[in-house]
Amino acid sequence: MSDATVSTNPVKRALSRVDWGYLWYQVKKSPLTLGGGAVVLIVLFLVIFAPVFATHDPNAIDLRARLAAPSWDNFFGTDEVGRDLYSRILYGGRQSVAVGFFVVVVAGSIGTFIGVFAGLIGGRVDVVIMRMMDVVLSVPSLVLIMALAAALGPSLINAAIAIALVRIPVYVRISRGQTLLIREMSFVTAAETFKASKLHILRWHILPNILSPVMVQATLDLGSTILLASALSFIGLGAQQPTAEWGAMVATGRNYILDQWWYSAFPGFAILITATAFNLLGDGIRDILDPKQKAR
Amino acid sequence: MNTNSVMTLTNIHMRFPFGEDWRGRPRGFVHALNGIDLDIPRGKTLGIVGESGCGKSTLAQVLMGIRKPSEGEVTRYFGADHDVQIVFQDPQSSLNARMPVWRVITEPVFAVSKTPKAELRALAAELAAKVGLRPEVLDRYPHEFSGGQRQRIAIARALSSDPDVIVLDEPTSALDISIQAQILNLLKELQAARDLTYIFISHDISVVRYLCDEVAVMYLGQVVEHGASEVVLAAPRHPYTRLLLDSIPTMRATGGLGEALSNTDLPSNRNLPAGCFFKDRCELAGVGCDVRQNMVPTEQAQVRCCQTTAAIPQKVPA
Amino acid sequence: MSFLNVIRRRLMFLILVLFGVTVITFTISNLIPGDPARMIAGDRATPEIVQNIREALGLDKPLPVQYVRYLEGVVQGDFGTSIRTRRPVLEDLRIFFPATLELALTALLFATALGIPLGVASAVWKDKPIDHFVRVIAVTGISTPAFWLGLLVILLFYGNLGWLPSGGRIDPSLEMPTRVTGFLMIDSLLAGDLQAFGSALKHILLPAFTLGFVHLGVVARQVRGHAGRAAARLYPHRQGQWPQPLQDCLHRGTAQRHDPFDHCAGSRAGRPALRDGVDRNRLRLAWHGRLCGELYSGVGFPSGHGLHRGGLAGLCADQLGG
Repeated sequence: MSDATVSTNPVKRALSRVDWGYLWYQVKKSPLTLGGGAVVLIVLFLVIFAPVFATHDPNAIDLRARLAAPSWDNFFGTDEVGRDLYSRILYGGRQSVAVGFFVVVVAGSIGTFIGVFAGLIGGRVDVVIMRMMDVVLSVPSLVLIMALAAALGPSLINAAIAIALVRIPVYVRISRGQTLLIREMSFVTAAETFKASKLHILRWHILPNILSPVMVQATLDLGSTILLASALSFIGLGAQQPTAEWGAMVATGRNYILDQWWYSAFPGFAILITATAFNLLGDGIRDILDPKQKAR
Repeated sequence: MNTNSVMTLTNIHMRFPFGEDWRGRPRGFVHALNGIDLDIPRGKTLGIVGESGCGKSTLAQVLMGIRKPSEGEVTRYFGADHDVQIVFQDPQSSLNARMPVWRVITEPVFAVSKTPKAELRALAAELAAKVGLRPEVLDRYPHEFSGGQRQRIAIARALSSDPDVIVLDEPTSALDISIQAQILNLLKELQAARDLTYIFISHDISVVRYLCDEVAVMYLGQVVEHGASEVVLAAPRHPYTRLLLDSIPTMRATGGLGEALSNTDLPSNRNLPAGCFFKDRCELAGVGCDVRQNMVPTEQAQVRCCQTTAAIPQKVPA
Repeated sequence: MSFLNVIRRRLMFLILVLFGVTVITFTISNLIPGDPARMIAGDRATPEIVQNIREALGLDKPLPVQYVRYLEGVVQGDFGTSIRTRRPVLEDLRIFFPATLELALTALLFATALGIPLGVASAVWKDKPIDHFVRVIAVTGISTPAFWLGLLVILLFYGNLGWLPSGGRIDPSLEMPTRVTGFLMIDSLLAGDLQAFGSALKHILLPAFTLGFVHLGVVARQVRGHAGRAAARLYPHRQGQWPQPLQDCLHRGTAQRHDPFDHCAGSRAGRPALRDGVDRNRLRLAWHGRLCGELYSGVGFPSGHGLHRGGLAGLCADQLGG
């Protein structure tokens, strides 16, 4: 048997484990998931290549063209200092998407680490950790996030940190529950009979099996995080002027809502589209990977 | 003690706390094992039979050393670390779906020592051939296989650390009849070739008859009869063994021992009965059954029942 | 575990949680930059004055001491004085909380009144167009920035149509009804002032719709899940599909024409199952109500220092309910 069939690249190896045909079959069956995924791809593409698609410099002030209505020059109109809203929305998407991924990666990895640790160690340590997580989960999350963001000082990265901190317990719960479940599987019992170390069980049994539920949660979290971050920016605890950010743009546009409706409407619509797309995708992926959670 | 044993269990007891009141204290104990004395004969197959709930699985865990008994002693007459392996009943959950077959097979090796990949793959290929798997299966994942093939993988895994003892926890009960025979024959061949000791846990008497040299019948965490399988299964002395054997025809029809015996219930192992554990279900129960019973060696088997052993001239214990 | 034991455990846990919450909030309020003494004294105050205020408030003491004093106060119902409104926080809560609750309950009413039928419908016609529609509504709901939707409905109903007011709780030209419950709609009815009631209703419509819409889909999806599971439990062979008679009951509004046995199975067994689903859902809904309130009080930011305490009542309800 040659080693050529097994890639040494862990990413490639992980991908080779996915049953792509089955996945595609499932996705095709669910047009909403497919649509969500397509929109996610489009949004990511537009945002990453924002400089290509933007028609203006997002921060170029043009006081002669203040609060202009949508036109061929400015697709979505201009803001109170004449900046092009279309270009600002494209660039603003970078902030939102970046915050989304940041939160998911940070909260996901820290939370999974703590959860697996608690699940493996068990006993008093487990009880103490889980009680702490329960306390955090019991405090209304938005209030906690706002308080944390205020404490850290208003900026988008601080808002992201605040959201990540508050999301950690969610991942702790998932990964701990999953760890306890897998620990009871007989392949782990088998590993114990041949004196495998806890580290071995963690590396070969727990982590590989914990990955998909955590990924599902992460996908689901992307949408809500983007929404939350923009809400924080809206109340002034996130991105600050002159950074282009969707929530902050809606906030400024609020002052002009009755006369220049496009100012608030388009950035908010961008949030709606992006969050919906991520949520549809996450929902669909959950149904595919985790059929148990579906209403039977 | 005798040198023909690989393991000796002496007066093994196992209790588990259950339930918790609001301060976290247990409400009581489940008495899973209540004084097991067993010699595991080297190079032979010891069958352990009994209804579900009689403590077979707990005994298996004690034998493998993943549970420490609450009381009693396990003596092993062999050296190194991983000399007891196990093959589970359910080939679905006993193989990690996220590991390729060659990893699954060699896990007992690389779990305890850093071994080069090439070596592991060579070992996996060798073992796969031994258990009748084609070499191209090594890079596939367990979910791509049928139950019988999965059990072959599990057996290959158990062999990979070159163990002295393999615990077979109902390895064929989840398989089709035709596949069962294949797996049993494979086990027999491997035993002959490698001088393996099997501990075969089952409630299928016909499979036990086919595979086992010795049989221990368990009831409520105790061994009630132990002896050469042809003796015990042909001329059972303990009333419980008789009940078990009598239930075989019904078992065929209904598909399970539990059902066959359901006219009388297994007493709770939370509150152990006073006197003979089997008294309440026993047709022979009478004078003398109000005290705990001891294993009495007869000429061919050991029996834990005063009614059937009282009249027999007792052999002096070896 | 007996019922009493569950309650006892829950209560003990609640105390623990409340303790944790006070620690978290106290820590955070001390992390927030800015010196409260300086804020009270104003920019032009001399350092001595600031120092005096600091001592008067006990801010010069070590943090653990401050925490114990704060805890003593909280236990006695003294939540301190809001720096922003300069009123006791408890007083602020008394003023703002009924408004929050009134809005939350109205939004909840809206979300439930529409969400439960939609959820049941999507469970009964699983994977049919109505199910997909509810799914889209649900996902759109949780993906909608409420602060933005609020602006749009103001634009439409206030700006363009001029049907509804853009803010406030009641027309300022009207006299406020005597305060009984603090709920304007109930108080105005108690006072027999239909005009005030109409005005209060008009004022609450837009925010209640906005908040309700965000939770509508979630409610529907949860009801769908529970109803689906109930179906799976009662009719295992139907793979989670409700039996035809029930579908017909819902569809035609009558079941008399059907086979009596099937009818029994469909309705008598089906009804408790549905109720079971809805009952459990009510607990979840209570939580959503709390979320609504949280969002409202959060965005409204009534009094900075006491903001977290608004959640305490909801927290108690949550602990005992969940």
